[in-house]
Amino acid sequence: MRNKGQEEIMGFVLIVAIILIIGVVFLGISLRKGPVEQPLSMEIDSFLSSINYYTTDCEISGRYLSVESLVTKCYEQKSCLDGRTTCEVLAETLEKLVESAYFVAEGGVNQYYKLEVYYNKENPVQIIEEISDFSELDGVCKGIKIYNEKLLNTLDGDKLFMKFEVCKRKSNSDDDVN
Amino acid sequence: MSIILNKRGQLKIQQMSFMLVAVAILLGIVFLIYAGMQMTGIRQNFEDTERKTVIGLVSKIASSPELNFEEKPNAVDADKLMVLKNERDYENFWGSPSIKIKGIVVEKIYPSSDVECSESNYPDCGLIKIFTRNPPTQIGNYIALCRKESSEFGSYDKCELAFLTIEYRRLELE
Repeated sequence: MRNKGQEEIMGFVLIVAIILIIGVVFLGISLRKGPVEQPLSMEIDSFLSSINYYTTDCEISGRYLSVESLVTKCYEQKSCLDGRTTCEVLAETLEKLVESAYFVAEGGVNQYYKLEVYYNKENPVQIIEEISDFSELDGVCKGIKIYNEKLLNTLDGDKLFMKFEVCKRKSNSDDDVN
Repeated sequence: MSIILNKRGQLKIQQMSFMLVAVAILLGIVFLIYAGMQMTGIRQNFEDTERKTVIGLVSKIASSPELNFEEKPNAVDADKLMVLKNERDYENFWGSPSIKIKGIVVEKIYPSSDVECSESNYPDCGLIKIFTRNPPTQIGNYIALCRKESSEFGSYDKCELAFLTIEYRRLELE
């Protein structure tokens, strides 16, 4: 009699265990995601296009240069009419533009940003110092990393690129990564 | 003897039914959790798709000849925006089969300004609202806000960084 009772309990436990195992396997499969391929961001693409049109206060030959033209002049190591170097104005302007759009603050949307202007894609040479704010980054990007890069010009065989990368904190509505 | 066996049989049936109920409840809970997760995924996908559609629409608006600045992609003519403020014919002009644009708001990011543009203060302002009185929404995209300026050397293009947002209405698909 006791043996029978034990058998029944064992049977019940077995059924529950089988169901649990099936459940765990099923959940595991549905939760498993492949490596996240980060697509190029449409937002960053628009941002890069927009900042490249921005008119700076650097004047050369009677016209105010856009950021895009300033990058070219910086590569050529030219100076503005007021004596400042184009690279100096470029760095200053880009810093203000990026800071205004992707402000990094404690608890804010943006965890870090990084902007690079360089040539030679295989072995990048930066024409100005990288513009970045990692002040709120504790370790690696835990949110969504979005980035894009833009070919600005080709001079003496060197292709000038601008690359921007942002880490955004995850929130319910922030799947706009592209 | 047969009464005892009968009772034992009933007890067995009871045990069996209890177990079946327990198993059914367990399966039900697992199913509910799974369905909940799937629903969240579907909702997120829907929001994601809508957001991408809206951002695509913003780029489409910025590139439309009614607003575009000198055929530059992603550049909007601030003067055209100011003219459109009073053109009610262009209300409901932009949109897609599933989304109708009710209003456009362009906010200068750099240099920033909260002052709403009117005929009296333009271009020394930072917020251009078309067909709406509401504040900007969160969904939009970066644009270059450009206009012609003049200097001692002649006219030149003055472009600033701005964010274009739209107020929209979702249309029921037929």
